[in-house]
Amino acid sequence: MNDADSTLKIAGLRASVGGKPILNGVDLTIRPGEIHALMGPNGSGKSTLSNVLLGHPDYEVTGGSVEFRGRNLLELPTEERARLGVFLCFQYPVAIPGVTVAQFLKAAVDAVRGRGAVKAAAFLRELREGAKFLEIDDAFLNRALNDGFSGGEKKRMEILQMMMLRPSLLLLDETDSGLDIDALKVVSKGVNRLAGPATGMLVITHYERILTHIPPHFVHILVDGRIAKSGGPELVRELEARGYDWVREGAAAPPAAPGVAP
Amino acid sequence: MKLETGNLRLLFPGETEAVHALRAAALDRAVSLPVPTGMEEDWRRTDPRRFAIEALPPAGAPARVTPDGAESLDAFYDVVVRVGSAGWSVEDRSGVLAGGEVTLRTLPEALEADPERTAGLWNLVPAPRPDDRFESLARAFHSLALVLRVKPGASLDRGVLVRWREPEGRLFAPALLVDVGADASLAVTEVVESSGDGPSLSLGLTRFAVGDGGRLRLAHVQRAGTGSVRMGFTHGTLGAGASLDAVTVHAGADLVRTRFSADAAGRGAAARVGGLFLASAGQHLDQQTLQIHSAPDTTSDLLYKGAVRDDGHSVYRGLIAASRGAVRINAYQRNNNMVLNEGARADSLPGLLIDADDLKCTHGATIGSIDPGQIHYLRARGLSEPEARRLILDGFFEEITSRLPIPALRDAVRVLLGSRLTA
Repeated sequence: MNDADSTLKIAGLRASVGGKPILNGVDLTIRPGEIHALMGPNGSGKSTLSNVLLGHPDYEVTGGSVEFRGRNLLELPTEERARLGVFLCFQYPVAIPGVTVAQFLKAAVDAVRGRGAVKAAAFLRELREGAKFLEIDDAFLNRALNDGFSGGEKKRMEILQMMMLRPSLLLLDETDSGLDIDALKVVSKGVNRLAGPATGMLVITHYERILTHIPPHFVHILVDGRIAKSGGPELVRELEARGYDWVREGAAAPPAAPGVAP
Repeated sequence: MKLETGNLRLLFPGETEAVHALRAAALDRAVSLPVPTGMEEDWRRTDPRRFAIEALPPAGAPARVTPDGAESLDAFYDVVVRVGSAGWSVEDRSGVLAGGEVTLRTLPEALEADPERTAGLWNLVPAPRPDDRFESLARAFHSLALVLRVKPGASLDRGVLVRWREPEGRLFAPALLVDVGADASLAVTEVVESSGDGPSLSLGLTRFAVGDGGRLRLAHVQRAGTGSVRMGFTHGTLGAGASLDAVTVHAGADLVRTRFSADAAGRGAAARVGGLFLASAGQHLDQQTLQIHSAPDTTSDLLYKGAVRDDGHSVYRGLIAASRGAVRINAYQRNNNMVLNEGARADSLPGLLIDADDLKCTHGATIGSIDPGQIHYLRARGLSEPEARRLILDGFFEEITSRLPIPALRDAVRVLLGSRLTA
């Protein structure tokens, strides 16, 4: 495998929060150009997975590996993961009072794309263009990051950050939650602009709605910290019709071999 | 040096009777007050013995010299005053002094031109009046006292910058009196520096009076060297409908104790007071504020924000005082402290002293550390942990920095704080 391989390989990943196991051996491979959806009931470990991938200090990794571009992400500090091209759209973006969106993004672009790689004028042009594309008023760029922003504004801001940082692996953590249909369309438009043969994506969601705007190639269902079922887009319709209980039953006890009486 | 009136003539020879009388009266008052021992409520957190007034010889008034040594910030002011051990100078950059709208005099000159008003401003003290032994000593041993006066109705586009550079090995007591006429408007910035990191003791006195409908923007930026021990006493009054916008920045010195007070003494007066401070290794910073409301319909809005790191220690004590008859007042006080590591310490002691019953009074204080969630969020965007902490702190300070009157001064303060944070 060479260093430029942007395939994400999660193998046997286990993690816990406050001593309580949440992920119990997750295996998942995402190649560049692929869009994967990860669905699952509340408490199944979806957000834990995205947090662990970015090294959130509240989560303890207890086993497994995560390979990306020739490195084990789990051994890298969070900022190194970001600089390698991993971007997480946070479910709950954090406010940084007193730091403007533009000021913050200049620091982030310098850190991820390289100091001096983007000159100030080019940066501002790109930032304004991105804001316009996402229907964000220019005035927001001079407001403190996420400070007093509505849920929808925060999510648009996450997508603007994503556009500026140009990741090769995108993780969306319930980005659709709390969005009205117009905001969802704008957010999806931003994600689809990034989508392409060089970018892998993991769309974590509780609802199928976002997947009509960002159609996945693969769908996985997480139950009790394990991927209980994987398939194509048809899995979404099946879930919609049958609910998570159907998967949960399947995961708890492997189906008996057909034709064999208990 | 002994604290005796007889010594004043020897220390400050050739002064006018009027100035000598002010010195002598101040010294008499100082010696009549008890020497703080450290047991007083006010002194529990700061050792008064470290302000060893008698250990260093007082600096006399420096000679007036030709302006020299402009720094980039100076270009943003109408008038630049530079005070250093080599002398003091005035640069009238846009001709406002020549035009007569603003006058800048030394204390003896002002006492001669306008004795009553000048002496009144010189002796102005806040009531309620805390221990003022050191404040009286500042008057008794003042090195150079400047009186800045703006005529009624006059207004300066940019304002006055006073650079105080305190000498090493001396007791240095700079004083600035600011007299803003009715409906006049003025911005004054004081920058306090020291000539090195050697020992020095500084007692600064600032007094202001803003006439009815007048406006004063006052900025004080202290970036003294590590050998500096200093006290500062700022007080002033606001006339009817007058406004004050004051910002104090403390980023230097070894030991600082300051008192800031403003009396909204005329109906409808408004005071907005900001403070920003950073105490690093070996630094002890003790600040007191007093928001006085002695007239109806007055407002005060105070916000002090600070950070402590290494073994730095900050003490903030805030008091709101409203007198009987001061009805329909609105007073607000907030103090937010960021403790950047274990071993650093911030004390916050808000208080109220109310003798009125028709008022709205709000105060609050926080002491906390940088939110790990904020750090993680910024690291997830590629910033290293030190970069993330720095950016969060810049944002924390920005609420005060943005209140500074001139963009170039805001930038200078951001750079100053940045250098103190990474030192």
